[in-house]
Amino acid sequence: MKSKSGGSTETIETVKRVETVATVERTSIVLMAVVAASLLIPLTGNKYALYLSTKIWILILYAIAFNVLFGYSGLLSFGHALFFSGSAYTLAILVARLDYPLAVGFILGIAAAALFSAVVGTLSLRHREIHFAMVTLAFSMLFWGIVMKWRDVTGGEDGITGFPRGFSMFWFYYFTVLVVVVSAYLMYRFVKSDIGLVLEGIRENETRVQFSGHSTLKYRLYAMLVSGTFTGVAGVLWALLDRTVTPTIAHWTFSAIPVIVTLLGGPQSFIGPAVGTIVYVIIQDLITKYTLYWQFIFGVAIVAVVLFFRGGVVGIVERYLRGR
Amino acid sequence: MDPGAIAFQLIIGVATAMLYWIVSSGLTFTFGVTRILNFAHGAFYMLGAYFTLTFFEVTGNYMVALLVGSLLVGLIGAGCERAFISKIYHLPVPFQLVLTFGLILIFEDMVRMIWGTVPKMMVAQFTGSLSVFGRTLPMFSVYIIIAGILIALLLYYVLSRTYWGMQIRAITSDPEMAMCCGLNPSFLYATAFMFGAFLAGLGGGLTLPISSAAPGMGESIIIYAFIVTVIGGLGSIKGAFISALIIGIIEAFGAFFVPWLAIALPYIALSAVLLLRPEGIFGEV
Repeated sequence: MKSKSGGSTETIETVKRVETVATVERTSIVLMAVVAASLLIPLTGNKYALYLSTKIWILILYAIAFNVLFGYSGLLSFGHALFFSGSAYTLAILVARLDYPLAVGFILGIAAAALFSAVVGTLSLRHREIHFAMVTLAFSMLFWGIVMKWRDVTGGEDGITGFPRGFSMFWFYYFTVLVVVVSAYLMYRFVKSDIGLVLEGIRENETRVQFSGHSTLKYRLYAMLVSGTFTGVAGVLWALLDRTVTPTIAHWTFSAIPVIVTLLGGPQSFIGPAVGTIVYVIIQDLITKYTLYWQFIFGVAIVAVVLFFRGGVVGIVERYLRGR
Repeated sequence: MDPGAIAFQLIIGVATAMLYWIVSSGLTFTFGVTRILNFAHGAFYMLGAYFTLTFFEVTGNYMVALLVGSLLVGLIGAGCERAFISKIYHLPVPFQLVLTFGLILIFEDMVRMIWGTVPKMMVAQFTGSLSVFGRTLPMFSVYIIIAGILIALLLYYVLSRTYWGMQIRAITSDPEMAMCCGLNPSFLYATAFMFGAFLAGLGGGLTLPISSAAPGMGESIIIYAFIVTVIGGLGSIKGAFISALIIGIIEAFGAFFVPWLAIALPYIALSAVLLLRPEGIFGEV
């Protein structure tokens, strides 16, 4: 894993960190082992574990897709729920309301997310930092408003139900793993490509990249498109998992999830958001078994991460490995 | 639509606007001084409502409860600044947003632990109504408009006529120079945060007569406060006042003319302003 830095204060430290081939190999071996182990989950026959792990895989895709934009081009989107719910609702409307085949809904759902990200990207990429976050927030909440009010089409607060999943839960799990792993691999290739390098350059020093003759707007738009489209993939999977879409996934609080899990896991590495997602879902799930107040414990965890462990979980592990 | 109806709708809009103004005044003030966009402002708003409620049950006097409750929220705000916020001034924006979001989660669950999850109503206050243009205007609208104007005057007085306000203005416009002149930034940031939290608490307490105190109330209001603050220009108090008026009035007329669109109107306004004038109406880039 190559180290990434979200903030300029840590840039020098990042430059100093030279990663060896050995770490990359070790990481990929661990990764493959985790993926392989997770393939055994459906065989246990535990329905709840199956549901929960499918959900984790989908949220992992959501977080990784978000971090393509945030971690690699430094743009904090507070409106990724738009792409997530945009694709989920497109699938639901096409399949449940207009009787299109599921596969068509699946593909057009993702296409809708791509379209949304192109439009939002064109309109918002002039902005930076807080203003970018606010523009994306505004657009996504605009969509939320439409979803809540356009009852005939979106079902309002009740959402849309009554479309098939296309798989049994057992096979849907494997389908999800396949889609997520392939998507993650494609995004990995994207951020490691020349475009990814330029993006990192823009994040660290935009003016210099402009002087070298690159249109920074164009590269940012690429990142937005990739990020939004794969968020859309997560969205259609989510719709199929529950066979329901509700306005919850369009609300801004749903946009906050990838932001939090990314910082929790560590925005500086590609798999950081995935680690953060697992921690997030497990905290939420385990704690609710013992106490109602999971938010409190989660809030304390977030505050602790920001104050003391800004590399996230991945950062802690890295520090431990290097310390040895 | 006759002129009377338009004027009436305008008053309703101004009343809504004043509520937005009270909440966003603290947010934009804190941002202007400390450069922190504080999600936890919503939590302070919620705390304000619960404290006011509890003190009202003890004292039986709404005004006293409101003041004491808001002051207590101010103290908690100062405590938060010293304990957490003062540690993150140098961090990139995402970390700041996420930390203050974490504070919201903590405070919300603390409220659930202390007051329970069921929304709590206060004994009715400001009942009665006025007859305006042949329509009934709830008395509460009148009070909230008066409160909004009083808070605007208070802010104006504090910032332009007091020694503390002068120091705050100094450290806002040029922190380094202000420090060279011997101003204490830690004290000023903490007290600015306290003042912002006080205003949020005041907003929460003021809504009690018409809405109940509930653990999620901060989450919904904070987005409105963000919208108002960004449209007005981050850090601009005058801007927040004007944009709160714009949003409130747009909403009031939107609910009248295009009810199906009303929920999206503030976001449309925000998108439009950000696309045409990203720094907001009174903002400086």
